[in-house]
Amino acid sequence: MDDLREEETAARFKSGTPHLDEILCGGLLRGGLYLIAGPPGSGKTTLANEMCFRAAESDASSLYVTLLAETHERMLLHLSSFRFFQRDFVGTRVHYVSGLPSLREGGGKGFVDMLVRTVRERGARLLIVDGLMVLKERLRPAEDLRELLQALNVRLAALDCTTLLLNTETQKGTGPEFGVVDGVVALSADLIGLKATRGIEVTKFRGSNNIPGRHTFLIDEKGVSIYPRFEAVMRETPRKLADPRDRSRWGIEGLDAMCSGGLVTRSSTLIMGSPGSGKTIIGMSFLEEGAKKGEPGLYFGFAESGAQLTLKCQNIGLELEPLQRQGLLRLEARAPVETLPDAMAQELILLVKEQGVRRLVLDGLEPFAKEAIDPERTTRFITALINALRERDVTLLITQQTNDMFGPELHSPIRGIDAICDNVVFLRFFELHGELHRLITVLKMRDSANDPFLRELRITNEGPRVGESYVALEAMLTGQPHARVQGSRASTGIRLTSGGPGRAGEDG
Amino acid sequence: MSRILVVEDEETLADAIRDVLQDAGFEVQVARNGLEALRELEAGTPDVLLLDLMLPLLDGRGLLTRMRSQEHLRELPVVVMTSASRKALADHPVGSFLQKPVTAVGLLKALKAVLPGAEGGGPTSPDAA
Repeated sequence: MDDLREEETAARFKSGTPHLDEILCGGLLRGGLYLIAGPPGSGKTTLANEMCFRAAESDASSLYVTLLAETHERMLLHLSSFRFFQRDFVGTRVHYVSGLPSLREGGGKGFVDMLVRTVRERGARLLIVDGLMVLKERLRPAEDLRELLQALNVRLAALDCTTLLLNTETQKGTGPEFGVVDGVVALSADLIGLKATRGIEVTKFRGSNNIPGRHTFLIDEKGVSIYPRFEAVMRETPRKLADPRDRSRWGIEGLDAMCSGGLVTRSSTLIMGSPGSGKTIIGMSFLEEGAKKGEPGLYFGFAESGAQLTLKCQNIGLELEPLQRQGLLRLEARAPVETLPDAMAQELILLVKEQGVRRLVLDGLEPFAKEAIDPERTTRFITALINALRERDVTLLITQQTNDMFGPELHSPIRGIDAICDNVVFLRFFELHGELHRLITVLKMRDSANDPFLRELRITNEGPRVGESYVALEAMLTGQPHARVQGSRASTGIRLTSGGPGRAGEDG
Repeated sequence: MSRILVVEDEETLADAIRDVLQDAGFEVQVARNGLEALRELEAGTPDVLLLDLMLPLLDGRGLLTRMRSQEHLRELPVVVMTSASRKALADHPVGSFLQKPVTAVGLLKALKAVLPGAEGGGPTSPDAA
């Protein structure tokens, strides 16, 4: 995250693992003693090895001491599929040794002596002790783990060597090691429903700030990729203002008039509507309009590929292909399954930064909202995303599918989303004289006047068009309009609810 | 009977190598680190040194450096078996280099290369091992 401040960059040992140093506000303190705690399979060994190889890329030597039954060869075999693994570093900058013989022969004291001597001999700047449980089990009766670790800490700090102890015990306070070490990084692997997730949390970090709470991470061929909780990183209120005098036009005849000349630049707009109601099309029109004026646009969606979308738009007169060729428009599609919201948000921000994006259509929020590990995060997450995009001068459209084609209720599956966004545009099918029509209305515009009427949205061969209002009908938003009784008070006849069925919302 | 000093810190691997070599008729001693190996070498010179590179205390390269400075160890045949890159041996010419994981076949073949005509005292066929 580019906004994150690093504290005390001096005297830090950089892990080299993407975003771990951000969580640690710059890295581990050099010469410190740290515990990486997590159950088997949670990723301790991969993380520690990756740190060794990342250090090797900077010419630093590491010592990896095992106390486990797995041989080094087997470990290296498993590591060889990761991109960070470089065989040339093994034995030159990353050294693997077994600690069992010295532990068996010399007890804990002999083991610590061996560690210190070997660190000195290799000039290691990073020491990994894999298998703290074994050390605890094999201590001699008179030996005290706390004293041993304190001695190790002092002796290795003098050698400017940072030490990580890998442990399968995760409960803070269950062992003396939790009290002695300078920091604890807890890893976890959980199932949420059928979805497997990995978590990382800094539960103790002496002498430094950190980004608290649980963050998700992935292990793939690249190694460990950590995704700090987006809302924990993007905490600042945006300094950039959405100035109502500065407008970003839709490029849709009639709709710009409904919005007093277009959307306020840097604002966020929620477009709600049932499937097929035209959400994506008006979003693409918005991107095309901006790109034609030299404002780079990004479509980020989950249903259609870029090629499909380009073809679909071509059929209704929106020529996206030349704009893509010129680098003014980028269409990105992702599979909406097993997504990590924080990972996608991170990717989105990177794309915006790289492409200098000024207009963004986020076509569907479900992969962000419904895949969140904690549903309570959703509102905070989306708020942080909107703020981050505004800070980057992006005018944002978010489409949100409504489940009901017709009916008196407008139910938003994501609680509070309509309140978070500056503007809300609503699309719906309605039936009139045995024929389906689309209607469009601007339900809300922050800091701007807007047209209160319901109007017809037509998808023509020359793009979307907004037509006349239906002054002779009422309750149109229900999808089942009827002729207005003369003298009656106009009403949309709709109730807006969000966050779950049955939750009362505001009258439309 | 040829005598082999195995320098290997991983106990399970050292045990497996000892089994293979003893079955092939060699006399085997094991050291767990470079310093222990030096002590063994001072006590008596083996016919071959089978050496892991990544070791606690004094590593394989350090051991080779010290051996080269001693007249009676300078010509001792050395077989290196390691997970390390061959680059780790850039300044240390050795008789044979085995990339871990080692197999019984590879191990005996490498020993035969540095001990031509040596009597293992037992079966030397890789299959028999």
